[in-house]
Amino acid sequence: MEDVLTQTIDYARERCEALFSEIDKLEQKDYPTKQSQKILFRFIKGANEQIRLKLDEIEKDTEIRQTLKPEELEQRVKRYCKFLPYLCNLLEYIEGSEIENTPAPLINPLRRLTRSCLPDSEVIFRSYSQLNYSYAPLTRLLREVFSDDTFSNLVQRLPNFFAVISFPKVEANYVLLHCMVAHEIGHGLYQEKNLEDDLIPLVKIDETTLDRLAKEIVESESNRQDVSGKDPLAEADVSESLRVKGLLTQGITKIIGNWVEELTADAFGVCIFGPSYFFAFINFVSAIRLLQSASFTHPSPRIRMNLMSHILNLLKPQEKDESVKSQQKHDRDTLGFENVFQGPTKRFVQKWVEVSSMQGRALYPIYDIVEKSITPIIPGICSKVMETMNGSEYTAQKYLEKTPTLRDLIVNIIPPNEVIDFKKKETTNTDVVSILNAGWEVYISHMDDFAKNYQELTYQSNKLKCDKKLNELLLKAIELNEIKTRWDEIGK
Amino acid sequence: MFSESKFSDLTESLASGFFADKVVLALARFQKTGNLNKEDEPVLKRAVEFFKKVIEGHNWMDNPQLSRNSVESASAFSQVVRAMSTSVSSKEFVIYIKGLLATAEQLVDLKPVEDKQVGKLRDFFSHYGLSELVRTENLFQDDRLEIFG
Repeated sequence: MEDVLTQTIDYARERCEALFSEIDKLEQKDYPTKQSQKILFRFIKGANEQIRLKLDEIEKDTEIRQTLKPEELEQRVKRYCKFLPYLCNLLEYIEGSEIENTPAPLINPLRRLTRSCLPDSEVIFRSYSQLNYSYAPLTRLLREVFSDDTFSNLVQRLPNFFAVISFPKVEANYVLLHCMVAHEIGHGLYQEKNLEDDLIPLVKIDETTLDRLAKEIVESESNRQDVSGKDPLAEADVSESLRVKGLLTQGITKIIGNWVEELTADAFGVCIFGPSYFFAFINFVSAIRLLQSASFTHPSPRIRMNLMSHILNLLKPQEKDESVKSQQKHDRDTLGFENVFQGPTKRFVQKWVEVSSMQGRALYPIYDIVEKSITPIIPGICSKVMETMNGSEYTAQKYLEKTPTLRDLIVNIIPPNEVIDFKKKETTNTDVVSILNAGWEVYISHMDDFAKNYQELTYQSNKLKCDKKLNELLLKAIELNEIKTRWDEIGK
Repeated sequence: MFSESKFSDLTESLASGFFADKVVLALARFQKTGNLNKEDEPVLKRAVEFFKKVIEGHNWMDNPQLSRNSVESASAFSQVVRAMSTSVSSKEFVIYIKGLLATAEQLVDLKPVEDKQVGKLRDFFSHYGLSELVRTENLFQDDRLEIFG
């Protein structure tokens, strides 16, 4: 047994060496934001080193070998060994974040935007092979796993908020879709502001339905075991009921926790990116998901769109906003997004709001219980998010101020990085969110004009070519905007 | 590549197993020397909190209120149920966990405790740690099947 364990430790050390070489290789690559990658490299290297030292220690520590039973000792060694594939998985978060795999001009502005919501945060943006957007809160996960004193130095050096945001490789250059990133920043805000403590207690579960569901599950399990005729919750079968109770208890609480976080992240997404997040969500999700289909981690797209349309109409100018102070309350109230969209954009929004308010049909009873419990708190989630944004949300007023000028630039195939005042002969730098909102306005309502101005084309027969050009133009505007922003920062 | 939720499950599984190993080592040292090491005290205090959460999680369905604490308790309860190798009734389960809680509390309070009781507590954590090791392994395994299956 001793020999086998020594050999196991020796093999594990070989895995550690291989991991060190892989890190060295990856460190040589070029990344748009080196700082974030450096933090993760440093952590993985440090943890790998500590695991190697820990295995050496177990090998040499005669006291621990005499204190623990052989199977306990083996378990301890194997636990440390299990950290190795975990660290390899962490390395995967760096792959895809290289300059050639990301829309590089977008990365710095996104990082800047994230830091404006979450100061001192560090984010790795990377593309991956899945057709999905996702978020991994590294600091939170790593602090949980590496909570032992052995790793305390490494964990302490992590930024308070350090995350990886992944987007699909196949559409890496389609910047309009990347408005989905707003939702991922929303996850960060939810966790950073501990909103779980405020929002989860608002959810009230229907106890009668829960009991009925538990009984139904136990009954069907008992029938399968050929014990029909017995009371499913009688003492003879309660071991089964204990198992079901365990599954249901964890299932319901986890699903509710997951869904509340997702919905809150959506509300933040709309507050940070305005309607562009709503448009990107519809475009991305409606193509690949059933609108009524929920999962363990996500509520159905239908409920999510319902929440987004709700919060869009709350994004009215604030009284404290200087530019609208003089306006009458009535005028301010009519400045919600429901009143600013026009033409095809208005019809587009109306159509999807209608779809989102249709009665859904949950596939599994457990999702039905959760949906019924969560729907009543949607206004509560929106209010909490608005309160957290504290006036920094993207309002309908901002949309009205910038979108028409930027939209006209785009339609005339000019990068929309500046707002031009022809009367005053002045230009003002704009921001990445306004550029993307104007981009969506063009994409939904003005592609015929865009195509005509771009090589005299008809949009319907040159859709792919025109969409590609639109995204390139927006990416160029974001790049120029970033250069100007950095120039201004240096000047200050 | 792991999905984010699987990565989070893996994190939970590794962290729980790591905690179980620490309790096992603390109890093994106690059984060997008859004294509780200063450095092992926080580990056993955490074990006490853990058992309290398991009982809270067990009772959650009687009064399904939600909070961060109830989510943690539900998770602790579910993990322990998953680790149970023998079939026990709901009542037996609570008696069993309360017994383990009492032993852990006695150790933390430096009160005399029978070696047999400490042994039971150690066996529980050893088994719980093994169950989490298997879960960790399955999480890696499942992913491999998804790729090559």
